[in-house]
Amino acid sequence: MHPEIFQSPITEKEELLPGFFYLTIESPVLAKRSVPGQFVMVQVTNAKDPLLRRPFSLCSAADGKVGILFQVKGRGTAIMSGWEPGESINIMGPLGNGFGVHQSCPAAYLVAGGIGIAPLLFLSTFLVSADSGIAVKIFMGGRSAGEVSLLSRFDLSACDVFFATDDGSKGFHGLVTDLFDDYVTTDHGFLRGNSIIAGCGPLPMLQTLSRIASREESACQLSLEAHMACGVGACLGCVTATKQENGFSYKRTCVEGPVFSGSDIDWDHMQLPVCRSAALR
Amino acid sequence: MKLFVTALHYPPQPGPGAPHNAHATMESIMAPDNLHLSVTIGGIALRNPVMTASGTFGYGEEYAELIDLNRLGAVVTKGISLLPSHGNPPPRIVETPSGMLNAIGLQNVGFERFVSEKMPFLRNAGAPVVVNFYGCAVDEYAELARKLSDVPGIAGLEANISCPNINEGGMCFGTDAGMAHGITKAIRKASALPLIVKLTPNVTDVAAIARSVEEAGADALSLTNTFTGMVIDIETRRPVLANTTGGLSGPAIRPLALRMVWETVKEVSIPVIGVGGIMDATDALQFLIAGAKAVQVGTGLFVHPEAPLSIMGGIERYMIDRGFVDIEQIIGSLET
Repeated sequence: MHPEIFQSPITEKEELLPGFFYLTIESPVLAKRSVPGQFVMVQVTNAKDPLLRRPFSLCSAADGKVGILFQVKGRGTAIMSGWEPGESINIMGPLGNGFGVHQSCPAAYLVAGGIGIAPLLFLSTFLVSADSGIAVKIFMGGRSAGEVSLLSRFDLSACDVFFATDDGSKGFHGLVTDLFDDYVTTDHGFLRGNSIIAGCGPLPMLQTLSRIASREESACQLSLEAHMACGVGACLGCVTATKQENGFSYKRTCVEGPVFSGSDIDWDHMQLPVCRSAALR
Repeated sequence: MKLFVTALHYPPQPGPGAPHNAHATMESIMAPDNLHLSVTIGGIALRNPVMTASGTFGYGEEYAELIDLNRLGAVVTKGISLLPSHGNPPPRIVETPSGMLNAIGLQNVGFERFVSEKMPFLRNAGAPVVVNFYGCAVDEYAELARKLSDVPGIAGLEANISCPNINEGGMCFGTDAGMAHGITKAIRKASALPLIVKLTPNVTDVAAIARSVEEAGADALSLTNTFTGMVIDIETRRPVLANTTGGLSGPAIRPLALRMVWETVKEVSIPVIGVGGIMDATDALQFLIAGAKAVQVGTGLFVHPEAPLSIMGGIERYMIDRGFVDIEQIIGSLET
């Protein structure tokens, strides 16, 4: 993995939609080391407020550059939306574990909720360019036709792309997991067994995806989002509950993840507090 | 008398529009041979006064690729308990103005795995290893202190007494002078290792707690631990943290922690380690001038993993520029 801190210039900034940005950053060593599913911790200001670095899954890493796709959601991303090409940013990475796809995998089904498409775009690029023969199918969910039109920025000509929108303005009217469920249960040639389902998006979406995958006996790899402080496994702030022989344990999303096998996640302990014992600080 | 003429400026200022990390340009310079930076904390000899703070540096190995541990004053580990601990359910952290709240719940691997899996790395890391530990009862603290005393490679112990005492209705050990005294005495009896007691700031009179801990035999104090705080999501009308409350850390607490250190050093004769929102050399120097004999960097590490080294570089520069040759000339030099 070999994370390192880089001071790297922004070479391009694109506002893909209002509030959605794509930054291209020149960082050859980082680009070379990064694999799909890994993330970086970006320092948003030197002014101590907002204090913490922000984690972003890499959307691309090629030709000495990395790409970060982000949506303005809070103070950190609001600052980032003001960055311009030529500015140099402080970026730590690559961090975490990426997706693992076996060469014998016949098809990869990439299911995204909104901005969760970011790591899946990197994965699709990787699978297509690796000339693996793996059929790549992308299921993109979002609020509206406008939001899912994010994808027009990217060359997905080698993939099949299906859309689901909350308002029905493009593609399937409803949840992307319902679209995907319809796809696998009706005869679209869904390849069970060796194929892989990869997902990134809100937790309830990922839980549903995990259920579908387990019903279809397919491998499922989920990229989880979490608030992080350190990004390197020291603070234990970003944990995900995972199943263990005798119960569960909290794994660090930044180190043991952010990509987890769907079958390893203990969903009950992700959603319900397990104990209310006073925090020992 | 000014001993060195130097072109280095303190503190380094990023230029206008300069990007986001002044620390990147603040590499620690090699200290001239006659610059004395070493301090002794309750019998633990530190090559410099900048340590890591418990809970922010894991077991050291997490940061091995990002900072040279060999150059740290000391590594203070994540808090260890006798048995492994799950910790609290997520969400465990939330950012706050110039800081963060955490309610990790002291998740740790437990004594056995700490010794077998974590100590081999730490033992060879090159910096003195201070093991932070905690329990839920006096007996647990004592037993763990005894066990840790038999582990080779540990330079000292740091007792986290900001824990609920299950035998006293969950009342925090560190908020009561009598309980703080009792637990320190029990640990002192169980272990001959240098003992640092880490104090909670969530008290009316921290100096009174500090005195009771000193009387009970502590070799040093570290303060402060985090300040209890809370954040509410107004959409769900629920606390953001699953644990409801959490400990506030980061630059937001620095003036509070500094005041408490200043109050405490006047009341005790054992060394005090300053902790709380230290991000750079200016911050660290304030604690040293107030009388702290060393400092710990915690939340600052998350932003700048190399912060302890850049802080040392800044302290060296400050000393050189002002003609100081010994760190002891700065410690407690507050003019009032």
